[in-house]
Amino acid sequence: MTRFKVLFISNLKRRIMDGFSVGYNILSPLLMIWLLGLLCKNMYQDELLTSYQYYGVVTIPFCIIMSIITAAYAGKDDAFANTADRILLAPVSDAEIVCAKILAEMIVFAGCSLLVLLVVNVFSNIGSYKELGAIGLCYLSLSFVTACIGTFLGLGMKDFMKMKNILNIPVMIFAILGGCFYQFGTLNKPLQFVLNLSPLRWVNRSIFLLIYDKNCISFYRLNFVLIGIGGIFMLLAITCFKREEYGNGQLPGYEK
Amino acid sequence: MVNNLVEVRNFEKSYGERKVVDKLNFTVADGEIVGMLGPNGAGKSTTIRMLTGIEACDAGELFFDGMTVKKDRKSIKMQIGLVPQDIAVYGDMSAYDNVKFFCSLYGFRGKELERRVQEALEFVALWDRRKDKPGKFSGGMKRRLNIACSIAHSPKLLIMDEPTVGIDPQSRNYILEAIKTLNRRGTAVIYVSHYMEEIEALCNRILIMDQGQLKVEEDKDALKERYKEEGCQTLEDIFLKITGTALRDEEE
Repeated sequence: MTRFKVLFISNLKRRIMDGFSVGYNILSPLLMIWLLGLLCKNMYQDELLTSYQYYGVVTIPFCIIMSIITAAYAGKDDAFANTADRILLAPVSDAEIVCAKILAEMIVFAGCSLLVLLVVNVFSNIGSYKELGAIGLCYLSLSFVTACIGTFLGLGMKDFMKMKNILNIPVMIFAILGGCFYQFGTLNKPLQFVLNLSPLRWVNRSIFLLIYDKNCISFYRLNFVLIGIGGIFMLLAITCFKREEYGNGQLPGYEK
Repeated sequence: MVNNLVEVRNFEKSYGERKVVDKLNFTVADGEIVGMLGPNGAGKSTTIRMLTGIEACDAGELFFDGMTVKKDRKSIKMQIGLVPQDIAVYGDMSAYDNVKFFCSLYGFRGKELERRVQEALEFVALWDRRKDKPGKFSGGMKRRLNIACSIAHSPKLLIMDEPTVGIDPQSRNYILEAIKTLNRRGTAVIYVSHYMEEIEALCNRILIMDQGQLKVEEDKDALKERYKEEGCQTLEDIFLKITGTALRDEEE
C-alpha cells in the first residue's frame, strides 16, 4: 500500500501540474460554454433553460471524455522521462502502476470538471447544490471510465502515436451525436436511434432528467453502468499491461 | 569459499525470429565487480533487462542469493539497483525529490527515507544542489544523480549500463572512485561499458558477449595472461580478437 500511495501521489502531482489537464478540463470547457452559450443565445429564448445552462450541462462531460487522450499520454509519462525501467525494477506490481495512474487521472479530471460546473453555476444557475453534488458523482464515474480507457490505450497499445491521432475522431462523433454542439430533440425515430449510440447522449440526458425532471433512476443506472465499464477497462489495462510498451518513450513527433 | 550472489542459468530471449540471447550462463560472486563487454547488438541490454526482471526471459532461471525469481520476486527486486544508460530522472522534480521518490518505491519512509536520500546525495556530491532540478545540472551531475537514485535503497547488486557516457574526465573519475567505494562496502557490481580502460581499472572478472552468446567468462588477469601469447597486449586487443573487427550495425 505504501508503494501504491507513493506512485499515486506522484501521478496526482504530475496530473495537477499537467497543462493538458488544466487546458482540456478547465479552460476549454469554460471557453466553449461561454462561446456556444453566446452564439446560440437566441435559439433558447422560448426554452425552459438558457443556452448557458444547456451548454454548461453538455460541454463538461464532452471535455471529460476528450481527456482519454490526456490519460493515454499520462500512461507514457514515465517512458518520456526514461524512468519507467526504474519503476519496473522497484518491487511494485503492474496493477499498482496502472491503478495509481487511473486513480490520479480520475480525481484530477473530475475535480477540474466540478470546478467548471461550480463556476458556470454561479453565472447561469444550473441547479441546486444537492443536484450539483449528484452531477459531481456522475463526473467521477465518467472520469473513471475515461481514465481507465485512456490508460488501457496508453499502456496496452503497441502503436501509441497512431492510436492517439485517431482517438479524437470517435470522441467528436459521439459529441455531435450526443448533442454537445446542437440539440437533436425533434428527429425521426431511425435517426434518434443513431443518436442513442453515443454514450454522451445518455450522460447528458440523465443529467437533464435529474436537474429538470427530478428523475434520479436513469442517473443512478448511468453511474452504475459507467463504473461497470470502467472496471472492465481497468482489468483490461492491468492484464494487457505491456512492460516493453510502458518503457517505450521513443515516440516520433513527441517533444519532451 | 566464494558465495555466488547471482547465478544465471540458460537465459534465452527472442524477438520474433531473432534470437538476442542464447543459452546464457554466468555467475556474479558476492562483492565482486564484473565487467560486461560486447559489441552493439550483442544482447547485453536484453540480459540486463532480464536480470532486473524488467523483461521476462523466454527460458532459463535466475538465482539471487539463494532465492528464485518465481518464489521471491519482491525480495530479489529489493536488492538490485540499476543505473540505466539514459538519464532516468524526472526533470520537473528536484534532485532530492527524485531520489526520495525512487527510494520510497522500496518501502522506506520517514526518518529512514530522509537519511537514505541524504546519504545517497552526499555520496555523489550533490547534497548542496539537492533543491535544484536536473535541468540545471551538467552532464556529469546528471550522471551522478542517476547513480544516487539507484543506490539509495542500498542494493546488494548494482548494475551499471555505461554510466560514464559523455562526461568530462573529472566526473568520470569521481564516478569510478564512487563505484570502488560502493564495492568496498560490499556491493557487487555488473559494469557494462565500451570503455576498456574503465573495465580494466574496475573489474575483477570479465564477461564478453557476442551475438547473444557468452564468449568469455574469466578472471581479468587470467584472461590477459592467456591471450598474451597470442599477441594481445590490451583488453581491447583481446576483445577484438574474440568478437572480430567487422562493424556491427545491428539494432540494439
